[in-house]
Amino acid sequence: MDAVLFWILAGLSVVGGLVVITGRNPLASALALGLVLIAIAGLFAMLSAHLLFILQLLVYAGAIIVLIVFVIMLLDLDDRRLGEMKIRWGRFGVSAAICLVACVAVLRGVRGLTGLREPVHASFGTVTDVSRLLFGPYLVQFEILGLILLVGILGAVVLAKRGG
Amino acid sequence: MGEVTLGHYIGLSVVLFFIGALGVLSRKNALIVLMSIELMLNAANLAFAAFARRWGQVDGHVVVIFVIAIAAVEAAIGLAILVGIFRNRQTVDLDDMTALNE
Amino acid sequence: MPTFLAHAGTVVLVWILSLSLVPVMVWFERKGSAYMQDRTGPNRAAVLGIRMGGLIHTIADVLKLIFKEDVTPPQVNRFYYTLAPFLSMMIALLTFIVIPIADDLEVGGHLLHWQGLKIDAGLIWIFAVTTIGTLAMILAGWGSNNRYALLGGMRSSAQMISYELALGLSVIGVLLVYGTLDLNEMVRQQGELVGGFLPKWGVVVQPLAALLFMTAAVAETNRTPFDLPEGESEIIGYHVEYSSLKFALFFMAEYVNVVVSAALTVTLFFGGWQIPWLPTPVLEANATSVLLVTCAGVLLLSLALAMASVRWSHRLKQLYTDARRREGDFWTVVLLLQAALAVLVAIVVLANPLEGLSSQIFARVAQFGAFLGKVTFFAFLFIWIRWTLPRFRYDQLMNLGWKSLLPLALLNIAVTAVVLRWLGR
Repeated sequence: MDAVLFWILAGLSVVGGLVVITGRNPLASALALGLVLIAIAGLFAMLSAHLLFILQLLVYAGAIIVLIVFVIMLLDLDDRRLGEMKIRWGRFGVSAAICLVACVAVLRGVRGLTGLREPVHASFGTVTDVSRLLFGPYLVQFEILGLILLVGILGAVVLAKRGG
Repeated sequence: MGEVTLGHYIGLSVVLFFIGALGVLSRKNALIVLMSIELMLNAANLAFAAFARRWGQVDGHVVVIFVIAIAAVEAAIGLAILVGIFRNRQTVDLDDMTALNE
Repeated sequence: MPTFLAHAGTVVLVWILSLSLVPVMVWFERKGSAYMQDRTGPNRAAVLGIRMGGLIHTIADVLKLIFKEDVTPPQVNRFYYTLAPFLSMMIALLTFIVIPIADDLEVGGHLLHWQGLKIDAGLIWIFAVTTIGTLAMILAGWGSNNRYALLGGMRSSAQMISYELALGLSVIGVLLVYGTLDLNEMVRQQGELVGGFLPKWGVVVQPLAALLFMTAAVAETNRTPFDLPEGESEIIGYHVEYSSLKFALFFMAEYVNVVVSAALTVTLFFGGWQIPWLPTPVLEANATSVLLVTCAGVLLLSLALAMASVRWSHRLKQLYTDARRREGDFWTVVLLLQAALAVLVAIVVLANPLEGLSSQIFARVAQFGAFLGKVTFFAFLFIWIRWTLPRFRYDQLMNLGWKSLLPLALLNIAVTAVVLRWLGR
């Protein structure tokens, strides 16, 4: 059961990932990315990371994809522009070869990793469990993160407002 | 099919990471490059979550939360910059963005 | 396995519930608005002369929508155009599955949860799923390849994103009070009493949050006074290019969303499945008497209605010569049967009082009934709001969302936090 689910989700995410990078129309890429993100959310759920599962859906599949789609529609690139930016197979092939070699090299190292089936305590990865760390040892980092988000919002507003 | 082990998750994470890297290396459309970066970040997140489960420690989840937040900021700023560039130069082609090169 | 069956059963149940409430909502909308505007409303559609006060008209509506020609305009982007309505419906249905419909039940060592998706962050799930719902509207607008549809889609997504903030922040006060994200746990805590007599419902401990939440929820469902995204009466919305079944899907998704909003309002602020002053143990202990009181109530109500129906039947026979003249008799018979059923149940229960498992099951059914009643009331309230208030202008809408609801929600969080600290929790 677990294995079947894993392979389905893994297949979905790999195929979706390939569509993301090969798509001509960015909207197709964005929707494929949404699919990948949802598949990864499913993998988080299988890894009993409950909070991450929900956050992945909320922030990635929800907010970020919607933002990307919004911008794609705002730019409204016509066919000519998209044609100029479509995939160049020569460049793609060389990069793909490099990536494939690196990927295989890393995968050989990964092969030895086993032992996922360790027993996990029932509350593993729940909101309470993660928050205890987030508001304990990682409190300072968490607050800094809040600051970064604030700066990010201000930056985005300033960038979007100027020019107009 | 066999049992799903840590290696499977990390392997998937590696594959996704390199797919993302390939997109960043080979595409000219800045929007797609941004999406490929998101893909790479997600691959890393998956690895963090898998290792967290392996060692029974939620610290990995905390890191993933940080990454998700940073990715959100990155997307917002990146897209704002893209919109700004598009307003000035009517293009999102990375090869045309060479103002500092000339 | 029984645990899984309980989850799956609940999912099926809430889906059937939310889909079967749609015709009732449409009926509320048509007949209710007619009543509010002092007109008759739909009163023609009938099956064998039975009109059920216009409820049959919804069947005619559904048939009309299904059998209309499905026109796909030539300029649309087929894939996105078709995907959008299905996505919209799917999202609407997915939201419902985290809402608990009755208290947990322990049978033979298995703890059964009456909640489709038992997840400790249930509240965030709802926000996660509704955020994706925005995508459906943008896709519908963009896929239609029509300026008005695109603008409608943009308007709607901007509105939904703006009000999602107020919606999300308004529930944080509730979160602080109950100290959990688990919706079932929240409902369980709402069974307690404040000051000895008031149930500890969200609306009692967080009145401002309840008001903000309901305002934002109406905006999230894109209904008047916030119906700028669709503006079905004059300005054009994102589903302008849709017809037949695809339009029906958007239409149904809207009503399912209203039901979900009502269910969420009930769960967060009005005690969910809790029956006020009757927490689960008390309800189980007094199952027999509660059932008998219910039977007596049903009996009295049916008899009273049957008497009214006899009178009405008299008038119908003078008015009509066709099948409709028999409708009064039909209702008299149905109501008398209902009264007889109530008597029968009462006799059976008096002979074998409810105890043990049967009383526990009765308690769950009663709680589900309470939940259903509350949800129906709030769904009606949303329709009531729609037909009472005029539409906002777009700038007023944005001002309300960003400059009133958002600061008030933040204020609510701050005050709640300070008060909770002061109370020493």
